[in-house]
Amino acid sequence: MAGVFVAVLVLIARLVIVQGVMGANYEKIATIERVGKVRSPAPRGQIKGADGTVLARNLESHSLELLPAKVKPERVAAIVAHLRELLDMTDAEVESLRSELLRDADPRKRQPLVVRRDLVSTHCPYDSSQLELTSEVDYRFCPVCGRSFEPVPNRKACPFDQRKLQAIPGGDGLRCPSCEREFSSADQCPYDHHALHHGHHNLKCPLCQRSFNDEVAVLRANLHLLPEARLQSEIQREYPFRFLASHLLGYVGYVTDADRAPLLPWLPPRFALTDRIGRTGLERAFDQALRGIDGEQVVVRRSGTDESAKGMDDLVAALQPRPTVPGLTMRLTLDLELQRVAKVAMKDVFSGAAVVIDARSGEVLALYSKPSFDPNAMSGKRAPHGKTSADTAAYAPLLDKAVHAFPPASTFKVVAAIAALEEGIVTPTTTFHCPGYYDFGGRRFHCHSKRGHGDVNMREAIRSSCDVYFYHLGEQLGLDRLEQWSRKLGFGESTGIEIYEALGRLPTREWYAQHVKGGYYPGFALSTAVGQKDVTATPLQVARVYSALGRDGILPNVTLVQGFEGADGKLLPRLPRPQGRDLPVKSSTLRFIRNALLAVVNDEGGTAYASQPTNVMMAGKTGTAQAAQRPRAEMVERLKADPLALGRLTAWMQNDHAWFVGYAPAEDPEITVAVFVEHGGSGGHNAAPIAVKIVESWFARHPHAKAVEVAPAKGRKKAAAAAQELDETPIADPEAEPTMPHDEDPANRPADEPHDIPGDSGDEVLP
Amino acid sequence: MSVLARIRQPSTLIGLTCVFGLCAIAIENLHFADSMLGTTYNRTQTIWIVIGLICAGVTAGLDMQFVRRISPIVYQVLVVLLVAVLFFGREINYSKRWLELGPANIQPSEFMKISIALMLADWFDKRRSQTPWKLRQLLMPILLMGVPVALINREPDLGTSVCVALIAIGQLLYDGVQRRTLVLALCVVLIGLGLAWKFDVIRDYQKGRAETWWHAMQDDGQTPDTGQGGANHDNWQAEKALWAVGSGRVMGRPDDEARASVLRHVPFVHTDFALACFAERWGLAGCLVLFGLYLGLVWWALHIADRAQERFDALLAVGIAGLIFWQFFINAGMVIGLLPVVGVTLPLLSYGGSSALTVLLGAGFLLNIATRRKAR
Repeated sequence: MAGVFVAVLVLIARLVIVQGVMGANYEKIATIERVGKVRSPAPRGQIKGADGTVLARNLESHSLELLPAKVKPERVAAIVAHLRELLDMTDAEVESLRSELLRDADPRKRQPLVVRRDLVSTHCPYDSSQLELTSEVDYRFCPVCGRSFEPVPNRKACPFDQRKLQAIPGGDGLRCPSCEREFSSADQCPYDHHALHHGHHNLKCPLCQRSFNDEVAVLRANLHLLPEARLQSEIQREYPFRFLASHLLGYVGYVTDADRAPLLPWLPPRFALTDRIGRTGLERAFDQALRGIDGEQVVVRRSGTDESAKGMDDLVAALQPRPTVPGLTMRLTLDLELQRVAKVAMKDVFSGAAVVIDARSGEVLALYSKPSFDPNAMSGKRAPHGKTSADTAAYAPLLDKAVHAFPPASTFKVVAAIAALEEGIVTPTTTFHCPGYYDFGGRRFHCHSKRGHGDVNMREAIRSSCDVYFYHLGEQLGLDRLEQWSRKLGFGESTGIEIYEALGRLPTREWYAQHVKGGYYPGFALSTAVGQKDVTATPLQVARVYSALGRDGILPNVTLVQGFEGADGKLLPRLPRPQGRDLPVKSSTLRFIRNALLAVVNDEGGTAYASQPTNVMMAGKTGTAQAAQRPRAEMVERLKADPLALGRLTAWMQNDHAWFVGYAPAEDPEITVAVFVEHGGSGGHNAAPIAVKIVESWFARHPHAKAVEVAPAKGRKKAAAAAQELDETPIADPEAEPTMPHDEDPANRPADEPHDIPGDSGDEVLP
Repeated sequence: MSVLARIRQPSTLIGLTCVFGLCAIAIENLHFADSMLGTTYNRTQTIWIVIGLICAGVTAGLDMQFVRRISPIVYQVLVVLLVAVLFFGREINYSKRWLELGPANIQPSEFMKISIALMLADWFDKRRSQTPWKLRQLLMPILLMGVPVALINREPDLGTSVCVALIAIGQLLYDGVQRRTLVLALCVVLIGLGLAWKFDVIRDYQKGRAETWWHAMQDDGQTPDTGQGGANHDNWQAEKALWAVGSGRVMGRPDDEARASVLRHVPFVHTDFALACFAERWGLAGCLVLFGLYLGLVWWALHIADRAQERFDALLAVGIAGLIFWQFFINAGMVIGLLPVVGVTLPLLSYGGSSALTVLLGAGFLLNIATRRKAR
C-alpha cells in the first residue's frame, strides 16, 4: 500500500509541475494550433558585365492553367469563349483546347492543362526588356492564321529597323522584309481575308517597338469568370543576351537525386526538390555564392482567445526564423561591347572561338565561342544535361571552344624558338636552308611552302612561319626539352580562369610510350616543334602566353570576375588572387621574339601582313593546323536523312584549323587577342582578319597615344596589300596532295613505311 | 450479518463510491469527447458500463469454489481466442487486438488480465507452501503468465502484455519469493530487455517512443515542436497531450475553450488519452479527485486482501488491485509525460467495452470477497 501511495504521489507531483507551475506556458503553447516553418528561397544573384549590364537575372514568368478536375462539361463552351476573348487565340488553338477539355478521361487524374506559358506582363517576350506604358495602340489579330498586324506607320517604313515596307501580295497590308513585322489597317486579314480581331495594346517594348497587352493583368481582373483557371508564377533564370556569352555564363538546371544526396549519410539533403543549381560556366563555378542562403519563416496559426495571444511574439522569436540571404551579385571583367564585336567578327565562320584578355592583368575582356546556344532554353530542363563532350550536335554548340584544347599549330613555334635560344642551340642569326621539305628518320616532313623559303634565319622563319627551320630546332631540342619549355612558358597549365577549362596536352616520350601504339619515335619532336600532331592548347592559354611575351615575360593570371557587389552596389574587397609569374626567359630573347612577332604582321612577307589594324600597331602569329577529320559515327547516323548537310559537314571537316594570336599595341601591349577558327582554313587569311576587327574596335573606343604614328602606315599597307595578295597566294592554297583524315592510329608510322608518304597525317604544316 | 449490513461497512462503501464515481466521470468525460469528435461513444460505453455493473452484481454473488473450477477453462478459452486474434483479428491502428463477435468487438487480452489473476491465485493457493517460492517451483506460473504475455505482445500490444505480467508479478511478490530467486529474476528481466532492444523484438515505433520520452524528460517541453514532423513525429501524441494537460492549470478551463484548444489535436482522446481531456477541463483540482478515486479503489482491494481469510481471496484481491493500479499508473504517467507512450487504457475512463467489463468484473470479485469474508 505504501508503494501505491508513493507512486500516486509521484504522479501528483508531476501533475502539479505540469498544471500548476508550467501551466501558463503550456496554455500559451496550446493556443498555437499549427506552427510551421516555411522555406523562403533566396533569390539567385545576378551576373553583370564590367559596365554593369545585367547578363543573368531572375524574372517572374506567368502561365495560365486550367484544372480539368473542376471543369464541368457544360462550362467548356463558356470557358473557351472567355479565354478567346482575353488571350488572342487562333481558331486552331481554341479547337485543340476545346477537344482537350472534352476529352473522355477521368478528370481527377488529369494534370493541370497549361493554356499558355510566358504570359506578357512586365517584360517583352522577345527581348526581355522592361515594357513601358503607352497610350493605346490599335492592333489587329487574325483568329485563323494567328498573325497580328500593327497600324500602318506614316512613313511606310518599319518603325523598328526603318526598312522600306513591302505590300503583302493579294491583300491590303504591308510587311517589313527584314524583321517580318506586318502592318495593316484593313478589317480583313490580307492572307486569308477573315475578319480581324480588333483591340488595343497599352504596353510597348522600348527596344523592339512591339506593342503588347498586359495579359496577366487582364486575366487577373477577369479570373472570377473562370473559377476553373489559375495563374501560376515562377521565378525563371533569364539571360537577356541569349547567345552572346552563353558559354562563360553557363546555365542553371533542376537538381537531380545525385545533387541532393548529402555529403555524409546522416546529414539532411543538400537541396530542396525544386532547387536549381548552376550546371556549367560561371553559374556552376560560383554556384554557392550566387545561390545565397534560403531563409525560414515561422508561420503561426493560433486558436483560442485573444488574451492567450499575448507573448506570441516571444514565442515566434524563440522559434528562430532564419533570414534569407540573397545570392551575391557578381560583376565580370567582360566587356560586352567587345564581346559583341567578337561575335559579329565571327559571323562568317561555322565554328571557333575568340578570346581577348587584358595583357597586363589577365582580365578576360571577351570570350566568345561559336556556335553558341541559348541558355534560357537550357535552364529549367529537368533532365540533367550530359557532358559537353557527349554532345553530338553538328559544330558542338555546347562546347566552349575558347577553353577547349586544339592543336596550336604555328602559334606554338615560339616555344621551340625560345627554347633553342635559351638552351644556346642557335643564335638569332643561325641560318638553315629550307628547300620546302625536311627529310628525317626516313620520311619527308613538308614545309607549308612547297617552293621553300631558301636560307632563313630565325626572325625570317617566324615571320614567314617556315616549318623546316623549326624541324631543325625540334630535332636538336628533342621532345622532352620542348615539353619542359612549353610548361615553363605557361602551356599545359591552368590559366586561372574561374570556369572549367581544358589544360591541353604536352606529349613527352613517356606519354607516347603509354598512349600510342608503337611508342615514341624521334619524328614526333619535329611535329611538336611546329605545334602539330598530339600537342594541344586552348585559345585562352595561347592568349595568355602571348600576353607574357608581349609584356616582357610576366605571365598573367586570367580571371573573368571583378568581384561581388555589396548591398550598395560597390564591389566588395576580393580575396587575394594568385599573382602572375615571371617567365624564366632572358630579356634579350623576349625582345628578339617580340621583334619577330611584330614582323609577322607588319613586315612584307609576314604571314599576317594583310591584316593590320588601322589605329594601332599589332604584333602576333598565325597558325594553321592540319586537322582533317571524318565526322563521328553518331553524327553520320544522325544526318543520314540529310545527305546534303552530311556532305557539308564532311567537307568542312577536311579544312585546317586557323589560328591567330596577337597583342596590341605592339610596343606596350594592352590587349591580347586569340582567334581560333575550327576547320576555318589558314591563319593569315581566315583568323587574322577577325582579330583585326576586334583590335580595331577596342582601340577605336580606347584610343592609344601612339595611334597617330601608326596611322600613316595605312597607305603603305594598302599599297603593299595588293602585292601581298599575289605573293601569299601559294600559302593560302591547300596542299596539293590529298589530305588524309587526322588519324592517331600509328599504323602508317615510318617504321613500317620508311619512304616519303605524301600527306601523311599531322606532319605537314601550313602557316 | 446480512449481506446488506456487510455492504454498509465503511471500506466497502468507499470502494463502491469509487467504482460508481469513476463510472459517472467516464460517462461525463465521454460525453464531452463526443461533442468534440462528433461521435456516439458515450451511448455505447453507457451500455457497456450497465452490462458491466450487472455482471459485477452477478459475480459478487457467485460461489468462489465454482469460480475456481471454471477459471482454468476460462483461461484456456482466452488463450485460444488470443491465438485466434492473431489470425482473424480486426486490425485497428496497425495492431490486431479485437475479435468481431456479432455487434461487439471484444478484446480477449483485456479479459486475460482478470483471468490470469484468477488462475495464478488458484495455482498459488493449491500448491501453498510455508517457505517462500523457489525458482524451479515457479516454472508453471511463469509459463501460465508467459504464454498470454507473448501472444498479446505479438498483436502487437506491448502495454497490455506488460500489464498482465505486472499483475502476475504482483501476486507472486505478495505470496512471497526467495530473495535469491528475486535477484536472479530481476537480472534475467534486465538482460532480456537489453536483448529485446538489441534484436528488434521491441518494435521500432516502440523504441522511438521510448527514446522521445527520454529526450522529452530531459528538456521538459519548454519549446513547442515546430510541427514539421507532423504525424510521423514520434513525440507528437505525447506532446499535444502534455500541452492539453498543462493548459488545464489549477482549476481547469471551460468546455468551449477546451474544445477549441490543442485538445482537438490530441489523438485517441476518447481512449488512451482520456485523461488529457479530463485534466484540461478540470485542472489540477479535478485530477486530484480522480486520482483519489483510483487510490481509493486500490486501497479497497488491498484492504480486502489484508482481511481475507483465504489465501486465494487475498491473492485474487491483490491481482485486481494490481490490474487497476498498473493500468492507472502507466496510463496517467504516459499522459502527463512521465512514461513513454504505450497503449494502456485508463480503467473505466477510457472508451472500450472489454476494458470496462474487466474492471467491473474485478470490482464484482472484490465485492464478493468483501461480503463473504465474515461468513466463516
